[in-house]
Amino acid sequence: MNDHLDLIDRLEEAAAPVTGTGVTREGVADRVAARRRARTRHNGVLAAAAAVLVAVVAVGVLAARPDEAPTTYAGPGDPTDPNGSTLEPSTTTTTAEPSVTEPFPTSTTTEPSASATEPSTPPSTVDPATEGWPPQHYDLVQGGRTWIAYLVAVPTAANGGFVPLEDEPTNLAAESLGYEPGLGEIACDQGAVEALGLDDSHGWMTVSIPFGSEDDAHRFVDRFVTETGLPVVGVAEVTTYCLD
Amino acid sequence: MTRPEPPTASDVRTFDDLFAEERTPMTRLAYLVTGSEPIAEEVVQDAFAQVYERWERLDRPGAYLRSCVVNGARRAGARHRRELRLVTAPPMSAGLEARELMDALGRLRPAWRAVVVLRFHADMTQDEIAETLGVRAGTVKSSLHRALAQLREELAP
Repeated sequence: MNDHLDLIDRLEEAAAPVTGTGVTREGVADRVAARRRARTRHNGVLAAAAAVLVAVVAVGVLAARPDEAPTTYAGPGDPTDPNGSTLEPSTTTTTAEPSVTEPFPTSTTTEPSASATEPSTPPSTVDPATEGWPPQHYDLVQGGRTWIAYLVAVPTAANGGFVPLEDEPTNLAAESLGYEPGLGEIACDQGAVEALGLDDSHGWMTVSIPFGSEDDAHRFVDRFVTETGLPVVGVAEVTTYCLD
Repeated sequence: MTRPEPPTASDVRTFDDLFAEERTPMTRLAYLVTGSEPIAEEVVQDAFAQVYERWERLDRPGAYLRSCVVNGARRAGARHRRELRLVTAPPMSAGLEARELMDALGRLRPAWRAVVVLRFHADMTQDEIAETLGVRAGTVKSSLHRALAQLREELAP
């Protein structure tokens, strides 16, 4: 057995019987259609939520001025509509339903433009960007300043210096939303212990997600806590190390 | 053994080309990360769908596909971890050593398993793995070190 346990050959041998015949073009087309349907449903929910928000704001405004309040809410379409209307969640959409047998693209023969570069680290079945969640920031730089949302912090002393955090519910919840939380020692993030008010007499293992701005980090935390009910540690602007 | 780099947009003319060339390698990659052929196929199918939707904007569709596959496999592996321990069995046609390896891989944490597979099956550097997984290179290094230590212990004769 060599230093790498013959891993290259063993992995090759283990995977060899797998052919991928269950992956079909039709199956991919079905997935594309399903993903679009899911987005359509999501957009419908967002539209309904927006309508509700407008209604709540309108009611609040009118409640503050009871002497001017009409007896019915005019609806989100036209607040000045004298006829008024009852508030209905939006269930319609302009997104066309794709055909399951939609053909694949066949004519990409030129280099795509550099300005259209897609990040090489994607994604997930739920793309935070398309779901209205702030995007994770991937381009961490050694010695660079970054806003990081800390979801979990556990003293390293609690388990002989090593703390497995992968199965932490908070980590799994963030992963299920399409994020790729980093699991590591807080010592790599200079300024985090102080900003988060943690005990600096020992190390901490953290689950964290970097963001491109303070606003994004706070928007993520606010929404994450609201939607999952899970507590988080906080947000800090830190200097990132351990990247080389 | 050195595996070829994933094809780029310049040498893959169509999505169909990419599908034909990468279907089997990507399914094998996902299988090694998840430990389950059916789940691997689900992951790869979904990854191709993601690539399809972004096709016009991708400079490196092959690399993007691989990232989709690996990260999808990691998530699927985490979701099905308990079930996989109960039901996963390497293909019977695989040799004893390969089956032992799959058992040992199955006992690794999903993130460590992904790092091992990307390093020794996909022949990626630590920096490439870090980029693919969206983690720091230091995390890859420590994960690889710990994973190999555990595998060495479990696979030692």
